[in-house]
Amino acid sequence: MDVNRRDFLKITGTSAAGAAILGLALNLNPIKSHAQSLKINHCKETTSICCYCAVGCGVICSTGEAGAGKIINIEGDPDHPVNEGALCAKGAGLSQLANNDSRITAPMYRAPYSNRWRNVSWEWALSNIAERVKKSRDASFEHKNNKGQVVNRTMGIASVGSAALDNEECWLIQALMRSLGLVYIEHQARI
Amino acid sequence: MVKAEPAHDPKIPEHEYLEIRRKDGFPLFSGKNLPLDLGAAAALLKKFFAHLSKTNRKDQAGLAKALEQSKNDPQWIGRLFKNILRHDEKALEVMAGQVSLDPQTLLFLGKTALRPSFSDLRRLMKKIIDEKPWGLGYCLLCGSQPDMARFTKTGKRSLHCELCGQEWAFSRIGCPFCDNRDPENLGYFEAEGEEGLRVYSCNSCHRYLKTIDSRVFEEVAPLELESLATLHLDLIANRSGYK
Repeated sequence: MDVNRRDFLKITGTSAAGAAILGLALNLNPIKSHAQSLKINHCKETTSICCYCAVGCGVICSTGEAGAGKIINIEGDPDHPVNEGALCAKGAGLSQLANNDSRITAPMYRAPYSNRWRNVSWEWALSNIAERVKKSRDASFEHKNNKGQVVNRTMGIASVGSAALDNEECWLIQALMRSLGLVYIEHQARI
Repeated sequence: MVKAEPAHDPKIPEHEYLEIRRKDGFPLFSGKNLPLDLGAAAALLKKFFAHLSKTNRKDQAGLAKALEQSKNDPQWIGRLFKNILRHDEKALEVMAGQVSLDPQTLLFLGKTALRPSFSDLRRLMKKIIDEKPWGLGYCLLCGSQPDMARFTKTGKRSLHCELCGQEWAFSRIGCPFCDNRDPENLGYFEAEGEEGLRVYSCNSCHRYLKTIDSRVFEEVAPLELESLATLHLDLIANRSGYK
């Protein structure tokens, strides 16, 4: 006969006094056989920070030893001062970021007027972005405004940031965009 | 059912003194100066011996002997409690040998008899206990180690003292026994089909701690009982080399 937790609690009537009496007269054999029959999963817990937004909620990732560190569960870190264990709906589904067949793992490109995306290499994507930025910027660059004041700006490109960007990344983006002459610089958190 | 009636006024040290102990990471009381109602605990233990020696058990004779011993030698139970509170296993073994009882049985009964006095003390010390989180790996009240843990509804880990039953919050990642905080050297296991019952283990000190998740189980029984109800996990932990 196997004895599991539920059976045991039922036998003892869920009272500590019951445990004092029954616990002492316990026959270990059925417990041993129960222990033998169980399949055991070993896991590890690691803390991390949710990658989605700038709130920076702490999470605890459980990874299984079997399956090369496969993520089993992600939960809010109750000891983290920012979120104290809570997660938003998006953060609560964080494990789907790693365990997801639909996850995009390479840059994709949709040509103008095309209705489909295709995979491209990082090299192709980055050099194309650079070329197009340069082209738009040169074509739209204004040295002076209508009043003849020096402005050195481009109104042809806008930058939209991301809530996942940290302070230092935002600084780098500011430096780059200002050097290109952009004035339409927005951060996602304000939209 | 037998009931203890702790009706004494234990001598509690000044609040300021206890504050200093707490601030320096010392438990409020050590095994030597726990202000417990040992008289009430002794009366309860005698009732346990008397009741259990009349039941059909293998160690019936030992229990009767223990009852006899405590009647003949009025200091015997006092010495037993002293050894339990000081975690003196060797002395406890000698005492168990005197009455032909298993030391674990004697320890279990002794601890259980002390519980009402401990819950009295907990009530008296509630203010200072609740003042701020303790967060260390041993009990704030008596300095003993945890025997089980639970995750609260918010996922916080709460440790349960093996001696006095006090519960206190402890960080989720970390070993309460050796304070190892390296996630690479910590881990847990659970059995398939028993989700919500985890055994946390430390590869630095090779200790383990059973944990029940109250987010999974609607109702969690007193942890003393949960600990008995999950003995199979102790067997698995022992088999894996944890103690």
